[in-house]
Amino acid sequence: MSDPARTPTRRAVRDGRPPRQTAEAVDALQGFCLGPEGRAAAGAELRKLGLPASADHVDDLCQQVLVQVWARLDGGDPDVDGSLFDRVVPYARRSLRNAAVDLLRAGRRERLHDLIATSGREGADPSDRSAGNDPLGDRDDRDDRTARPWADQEADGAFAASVRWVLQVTFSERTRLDPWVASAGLVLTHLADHPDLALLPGTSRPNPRSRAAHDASRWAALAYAGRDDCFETPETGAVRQRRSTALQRVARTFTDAVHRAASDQGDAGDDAGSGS
Amino acid sequence: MSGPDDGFEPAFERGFERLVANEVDDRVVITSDRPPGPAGLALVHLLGGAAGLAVDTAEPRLLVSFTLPHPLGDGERAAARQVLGTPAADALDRWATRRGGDVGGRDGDTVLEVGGGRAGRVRPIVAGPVSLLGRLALGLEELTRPGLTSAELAVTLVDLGALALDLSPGLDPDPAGLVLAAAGIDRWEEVTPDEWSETSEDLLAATSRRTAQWYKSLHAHDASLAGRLEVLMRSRPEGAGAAVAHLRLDHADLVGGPPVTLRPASAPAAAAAGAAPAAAERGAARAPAPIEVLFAPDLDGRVITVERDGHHLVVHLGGLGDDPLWLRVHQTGTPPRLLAVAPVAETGRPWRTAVALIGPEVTTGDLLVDVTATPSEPWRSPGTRRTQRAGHLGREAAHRTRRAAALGRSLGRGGRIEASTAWLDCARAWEAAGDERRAEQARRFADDPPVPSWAASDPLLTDLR
Repeated sequence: MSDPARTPTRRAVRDGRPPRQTAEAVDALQGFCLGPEGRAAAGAELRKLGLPASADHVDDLCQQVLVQVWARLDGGDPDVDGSLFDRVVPYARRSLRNAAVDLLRAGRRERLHDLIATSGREGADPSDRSAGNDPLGDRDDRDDRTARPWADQEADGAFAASVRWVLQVTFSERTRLDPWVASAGLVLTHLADHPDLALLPGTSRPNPRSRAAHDASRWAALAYAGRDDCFETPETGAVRQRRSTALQRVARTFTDAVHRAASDQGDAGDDAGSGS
Repeated sequence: MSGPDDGFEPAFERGFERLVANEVDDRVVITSDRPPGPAGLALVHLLGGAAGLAVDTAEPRLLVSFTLPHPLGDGERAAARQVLGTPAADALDRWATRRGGDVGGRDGDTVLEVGGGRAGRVRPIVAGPVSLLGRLALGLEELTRPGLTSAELAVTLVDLGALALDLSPGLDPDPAGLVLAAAGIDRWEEVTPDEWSETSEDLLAATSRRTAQWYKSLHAHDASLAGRLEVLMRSRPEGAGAAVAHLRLDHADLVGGPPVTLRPASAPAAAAAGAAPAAAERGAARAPAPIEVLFAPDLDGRVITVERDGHHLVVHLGGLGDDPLWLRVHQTGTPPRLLAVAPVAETGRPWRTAVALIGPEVTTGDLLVDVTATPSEPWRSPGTRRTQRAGHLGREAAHRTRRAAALGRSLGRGGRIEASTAWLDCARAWEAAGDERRAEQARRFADDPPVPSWAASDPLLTDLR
């Protein structure tokens, strides 16, 4: 088995796009970003700005663009039209230029959009986010899917890495996933892979006799993600509601990432089976 | 503040001796003959986001690049005329016409020397107050400066919104002026008297001087928004103390009277500090390898301790203030793979602590660890961080230079010394980043700092904090 930390996982794109078209686009993207052509383009962009084109700088630019364009291919953004799949290398080339320029900027572009988008919403519950901004969590709250694919692959340590990769790619477009949700999702990948991992003493847990007992890992994920506001005492109705909303978001995000990772592995298996 | 009737101002008066146009995919990228200096560049999007204009942060009158969609339509041609001036825009037009619809060449395939390839100065003929574009670009970058209060954000958004509205028609900045102004007014309506009391008197005074102009700019585009601004300016926060400045305005002020004046009126932790090492499971062998913790370019933190404790990584950090921050843990790879994102929690003590659950498999030598306010940003190697850090220090030095100009009287000589020291820090950082050209430029700025022409008379509000 390949080292999941070294080789990005082939990803399929949802929203009805044929997996093979996506796989071809991802292959082209990887070929460009991790190959000599991308490195040469990155070096040229850095030199144009009078910046050092050291191996570090070139690697950083190429890898940044790989993840970010991968995220665009990954779907969920209505602004991405189909032509991206046909022109992924020119798009990556342009992204390299933007990434080089960003090295000389304050690097706070997203914050400007946040300032405009969140005006007048100060103090809002961070979990009360428009579902439309969260492609890994944009389903109805009554979503009753489970992370079932994990059970089928629990002996495969690479699967946890694949799920983390899905989360990382999604998180790279910051507007798509809040940091605490990404944090909790990553914790869940570790706990799903190693259910017996000892938690820090004092980590909040549901009452073992309560209906929430099966949510212990998600409670832990919330705690590790710093959502102490979900466990305040006294435990008022508002606290319970806040926790419930946060747990649902984490569950949706994690479940979707698991299904996507499983789907990718299926695609990769299909490709292998067809000799591609 | 300058307005649309101020007449003709030169755009990037001494911005370039020569321009070069490149055809890249579906874009035309026009660059000047000098790359951005030690403070980096500021960017503003035009034509609804289809075009981008970059200026030098320290000297925002200097154009760095102008990117337009290809093929050039009437809107793009008109914008080029305003930004670059007629001679350069004509040359660009001729070149684009010769090129026809032939786009998609690789970068560098086609180079046009708009100035005819000679070192002769291309002096733009100006069709409007487009020098304001540099100010807008810089203002938008500064707007995202960490630590701005709600009140500062509110008035700055309105200020930049009015500035964007005052630009010549057809430039169509993105975000649009009305969007910026509306966001500012939304925030302004939420600002409490206590928050106003934390605002500097210099900033309040500048706000006071500009409110009539803001009203006029808004009223010309959206009477309803201008009406909301008028209400805000007339409001008297209940219980506000004498030090609280609120905005009060007579109607005469709004329709063209003299400048109005302000009248005084009325994160959580998964583990407590020190608890984590003792409490965490110690099943796995403790790795002796040292773990380096890197910081984002705009952070001045220090590592107190970092410890791999089984499947936890526990990091104690100092010097980070109280802004929300995250510890990220990646595993080495191409690209590095994200293992954990953990909040850097307050501890009630002089340090902050992050506890990340990283799992038992990864070896300590494969861990990449950093602290950042923006955990979605890509991982950066130490070399790239040095470049970003140098640029950050340059932006800070440019800010202090403008601030010293704006608050010269109150800061006195101290302001200039502070700016000079900041440029020297910047020079050292560029030297460490291996860029002697920018280091030398920063050293020159320490002796003779670049001050934008408007910095003293009409400063950015964010320079008055």
